[in-house]
Amino acid sequence: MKRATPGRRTWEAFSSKASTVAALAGLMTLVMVAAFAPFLAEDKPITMVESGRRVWPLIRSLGALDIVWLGVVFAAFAGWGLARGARRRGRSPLRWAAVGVVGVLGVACAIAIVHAPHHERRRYGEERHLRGELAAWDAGRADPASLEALLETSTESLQVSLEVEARLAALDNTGLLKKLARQNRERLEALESAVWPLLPQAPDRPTFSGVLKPGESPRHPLGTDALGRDLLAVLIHGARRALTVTLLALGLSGFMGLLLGTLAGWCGGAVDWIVQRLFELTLCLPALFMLVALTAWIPADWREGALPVGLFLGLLLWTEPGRLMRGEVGRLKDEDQVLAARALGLPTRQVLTRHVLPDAMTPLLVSLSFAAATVLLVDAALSFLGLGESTVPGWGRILYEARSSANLGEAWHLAIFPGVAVCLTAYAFNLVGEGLREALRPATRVTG
Amino acid sequence: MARFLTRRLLQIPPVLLGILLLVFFLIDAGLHDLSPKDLQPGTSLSREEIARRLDAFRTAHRLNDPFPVRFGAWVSDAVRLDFGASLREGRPVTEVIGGGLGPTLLVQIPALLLAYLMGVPLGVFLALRAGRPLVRALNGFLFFLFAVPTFWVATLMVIYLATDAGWPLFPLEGLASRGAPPDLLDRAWHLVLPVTALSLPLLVWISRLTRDLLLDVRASAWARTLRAAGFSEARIVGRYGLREALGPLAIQLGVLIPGLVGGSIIVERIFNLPGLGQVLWNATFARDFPVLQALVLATAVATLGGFLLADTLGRLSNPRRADS
Repeated sequence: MKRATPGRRTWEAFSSKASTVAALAGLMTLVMVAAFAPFLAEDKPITMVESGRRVWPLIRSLGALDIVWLGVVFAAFAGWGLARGARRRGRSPLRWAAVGVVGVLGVACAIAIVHAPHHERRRYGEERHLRGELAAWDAGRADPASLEALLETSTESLQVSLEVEARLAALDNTGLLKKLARQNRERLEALESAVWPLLPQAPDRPTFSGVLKPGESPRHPLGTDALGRDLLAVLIHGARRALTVTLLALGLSGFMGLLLGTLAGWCGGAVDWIVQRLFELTLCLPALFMLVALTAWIPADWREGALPVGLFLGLLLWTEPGRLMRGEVGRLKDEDQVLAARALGLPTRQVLTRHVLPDAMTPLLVSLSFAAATVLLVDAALSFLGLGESTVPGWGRILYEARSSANLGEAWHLAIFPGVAVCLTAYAFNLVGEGLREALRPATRVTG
Repeated sequence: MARFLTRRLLQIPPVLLGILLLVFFLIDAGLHDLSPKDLQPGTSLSREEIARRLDAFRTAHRLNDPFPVRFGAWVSDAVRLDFGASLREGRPVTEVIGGGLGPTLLVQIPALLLAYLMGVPLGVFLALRAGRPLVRALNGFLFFLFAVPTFWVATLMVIYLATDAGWPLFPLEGLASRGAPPDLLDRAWHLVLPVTALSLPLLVWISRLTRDLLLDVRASAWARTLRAAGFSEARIVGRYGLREALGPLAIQLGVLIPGLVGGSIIVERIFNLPGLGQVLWNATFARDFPVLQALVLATAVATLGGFLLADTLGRLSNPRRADS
């Protein structure tokens, strides 16, 4: 029989409710979607055989953020596996989990730093641009120089390449024709051998098709936005932005709250007074308001992307975990087991990490999962306002497009799907928080 | 009470000093790297002229003085509500901000009132009838509404209640019809959507809070005593319970202010209302630091005042509460 540790009992209480388990599973799926976004929706083949060589276009094109995200998932797996192994051998599971997480994440970051500057930006199957050149060529500029240039670029698109081949055949330019025919044969073979991501569409690549509604094109299951970007691909990659900001903000605010809250609760007196004033100071700066105002000070090339948004939100939201930790640590400080540990002369560090913090951590977890929903909503609002945007639009930004696009109302899918994504994610965080809270605090009142 | 107030008031100056330093530091950092281009967009002046103007600008904003001198002068100006002129519009900052205050309050105050007037009775109902399937479902729905962002609701409202895509019952944007004489009914008609959008999350928050507080009351020992003495549940919850819940609800009023400020940016952007949110937005992208500085300062001080008010109200409503 398994031992009924507090952790296990909490888990049993937590998992007894179907809705919380579903929410947790949904969030984990979302993390996986964010981590493996390039493998789910990207316009490059994962692998193919090109001129007799196996190449990995998608892997070569991964950027720093892609690699770090994959690292996060593998680090979580590594930490979990090592912790299980350590528990079986009677070692400290927490320490081994930390070793696993830090190790794998470190390797991922190292790879990201080394690899990122060299990542490949080549596009596959880019037809639109080439078609334009082809049309120009048809219009009368059939000189061999532009033909050569077109040949160079047309290696990307088989369709266009075949059309160029047909035109060349008409021109009877045998040298070029032979070159192109060989190239096309190779590309045809390569594409036949290609393994594509689940949805072969990039989130940041306009197709100039205009707004397509769901079902209008089999290539875009959820339709496209005003620039012709595939909505499903945008939503998949948008999950990554949302979760990046959430994880960054939670990590930073949790860390700051833990540190300052523990300090205030443990030391009391003047330290407590100072930290309390810091609480008030931070609370006086409304997050959304400050983030918009701070944009004026952030240099333009720093404004893009999730990083500054996540860090600033973390800096502004540490008060809630901080207050909790302060209260908990202050309460636990005078409890018997802590007094006993201190009376035995254990070093303060050990008293804190072994006898105070484990008990104080649980309220922190509850508060962090509610905070996750807040961060997600604020981030979506910022994205709606157009702050912290990169080439891939965030969930909020699509909603803004739905409001501003010329065919207002025509584009109902732009207003519905991203909103549902934001809602469900925030709802899942709230459900997990509520489930945790109920699991940790025995029911003492009339349930509703 | 007097002791509490003195102690509470003595906590204000350090926080205020922190806010002032922070805000001043931000503006200072911003002003220092303003280039002549920022002063005169699209200018074709000679090098000397630019240098002269830049020097004049630096002198006007005391950028050549040492930090403590600048800070002191700025604080003494700020106390007299003199924040200088807006870099973007040239008008005094107080005028720019004062212009935005009206529309913002016009949306915020009705939203807040609506949230309290509907949220508290809803919370009482939820607590009184707790456990029934329908109430349980309603409660679950309110919990879901927590996760619904204001900007989504507002966007859907605009698309489906203000354009031809749905039923164009309400105006698309603005505070009043263009060209029409000022009319109370027209004003109210324009306010329906923004106020609803803004008050929805507050309403959810307040009704959930009321319900939680009243459920705690129902489980308390004194409620059991009253029940035993033959008081009806409605009287226990509606009269004595609500009195108990009044303190925490009043405290929320102070805590809600920061959220309202954030929400006003969203709602004013969506409905194109000329309020403080828009002033902030324009100032941010024009790098209009005097306006930004004054706005951030005003918001921070208003929030600080809100906290003070909340603590005092909480203390008044329940003198037994130990001050912490």
